[in-house]
Amino acid sequence: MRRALINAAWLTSPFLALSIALADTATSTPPLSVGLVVQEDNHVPTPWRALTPAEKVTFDLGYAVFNTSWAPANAPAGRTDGIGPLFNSQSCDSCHNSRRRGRGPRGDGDAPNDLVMQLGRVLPDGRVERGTSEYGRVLNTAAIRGFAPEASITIRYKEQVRTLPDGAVVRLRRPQYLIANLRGSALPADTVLMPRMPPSIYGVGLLERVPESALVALAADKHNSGRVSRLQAPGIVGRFGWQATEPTVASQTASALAREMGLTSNRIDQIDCGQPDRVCARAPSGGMPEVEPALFDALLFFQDLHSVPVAREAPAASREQHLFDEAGCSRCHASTLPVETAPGSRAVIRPYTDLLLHELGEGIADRDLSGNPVRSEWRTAPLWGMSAAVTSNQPIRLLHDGRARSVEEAILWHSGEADAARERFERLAAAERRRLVLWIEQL
Amino acid sequence: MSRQLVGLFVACLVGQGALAADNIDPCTRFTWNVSHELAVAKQTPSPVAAASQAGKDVPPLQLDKLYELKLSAQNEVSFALPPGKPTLPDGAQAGLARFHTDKAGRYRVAITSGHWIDIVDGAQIIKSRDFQGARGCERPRKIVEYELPGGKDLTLQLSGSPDAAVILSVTAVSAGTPAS
Repeated sequence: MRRALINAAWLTSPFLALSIALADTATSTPPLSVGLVVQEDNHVPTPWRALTPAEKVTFDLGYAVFNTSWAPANAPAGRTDGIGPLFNSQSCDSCHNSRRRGRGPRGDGDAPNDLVMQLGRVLPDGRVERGTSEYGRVLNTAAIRGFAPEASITIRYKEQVRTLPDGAVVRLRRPQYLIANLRGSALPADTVLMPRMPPSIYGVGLLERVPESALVALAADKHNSGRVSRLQAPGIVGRFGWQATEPTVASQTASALAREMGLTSNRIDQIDCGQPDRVCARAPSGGMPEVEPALFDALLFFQDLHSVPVAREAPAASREQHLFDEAGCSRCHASTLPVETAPGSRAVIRPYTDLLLHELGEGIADRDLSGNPVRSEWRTAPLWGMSAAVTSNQPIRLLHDGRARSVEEAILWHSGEADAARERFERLAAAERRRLVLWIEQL
Repeated sequence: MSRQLVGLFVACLVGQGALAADNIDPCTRFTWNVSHELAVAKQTPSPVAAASQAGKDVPPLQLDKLYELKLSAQNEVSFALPPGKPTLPDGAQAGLARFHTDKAGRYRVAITSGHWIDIVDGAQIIKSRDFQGARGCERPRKIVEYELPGGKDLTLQLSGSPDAAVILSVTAVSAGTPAS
């Protein structure tokens, strides 16, 4: 196996043991993926390929933009003003938690600012239309001085017990949401609440490099029940967001800036004020766009090149991988996907996702205000980088709403298309379940 | 059945939650026991000019006392170590102070701004254990907890927020306080 270890010259931190392994698909030994970086301290962002000095400057600028707390318009004026007037968080980092998944809700009480409540309406045919006319796509729970937030959100969990075939008991928790202090009219009865955790930004540039043809091929595989997310614009495939609603890192980033931070960019020139909300729409602007193109581009570059930090290289062929395959997990959490890292340069990544949409049952479906589940399909969540969440010394919160407090809980919430895989997991011996969960935690 | 209960819960509380929510002091919503930090936050703050460069002129802070730190433009500040999270310097205010730990243990820094907080021990930044905020609580807005060594003079660095003054305390977490 040819394995090229690239030591980027500018990375001098003693905390880092950087190894970017290039795949060689021409040999019989399974290649290590592009994108994984063995890294003791995942607080330090590393790119998945070597950078030129000029690229390093842009990467660092993007990192600074990612961390920067934005200020209200003209307070003080500069490149970093214009947040709001309604928002959820003041910086990318305050939700994306050192580029990891969000910290999420710990328990009953106020929803943390990194749990974003998206809104939708149920259409007569059962589909969900995103947004409401009064509150827009996202309920903004914070506001600059002189404005009122759109609402406050409180969570209460109801515990339910799941007994596995061998008698093991697992306690799951189902969230209930209290929407209070609405600044406008009551939410329409057909409103759908769509709580969403911020995902990790690890490796998103590589996920964008997976050819559409690979996704189409996976969807056509008889063992995979998923479908490609075809967006309304013809020919556009969604692959980002919990429901693959965004086609690119750029569109996902611009949407988050507009809806969750109240910042315009050169891709989206309107923030998430509902149509009747003239006060919001007339709020002072931090410029047009509020995120200057150079900063937006650097933010994209930073995300595009951000690697996936892992505690150690996992062997591609292992008993645990076999368990994962045998249970059927890898039918959706696909171990490898092809990427084109540059024109004509092919490699593989190990993201443990197929980027396809799957129906996972009513248990985790979004619900309307009456508690009725609505049609919900979920993009298979990438599992790579899980080890960074586990080693953060914070409790992990998994699934789209952070209800799962462990990998095991997350697996047990799988239903619908994942029924058979979940049942096979449940029937594993306790030691095998632990072994499989531990392996997932080290991805 | 459970579905109906979920619906009932949401529908009722969407309409009625506002009255109950308005009467709650937001600073009671921390899930840690922060009674000591809240008590310190009620002191009258002592004004202190934060240093704009590391060295002997960095002002000392006493534990369990409240201060109002005056900061400087970040692009004019020389930090002891580069901030743990780099930010754009535009409009940001920054500064340094120091404090002493007699004993090893858990300590908290409570501030009224969104500044990034670094605690520097010689050539290393000590990572935080955890942090919390309570929506609507401004004093303090954020509490960050650290596991610190004893017998040390440590440097506190603030960076990355436009607030030119910040009300701040450093407190030792008493032994009986549950781990956050």
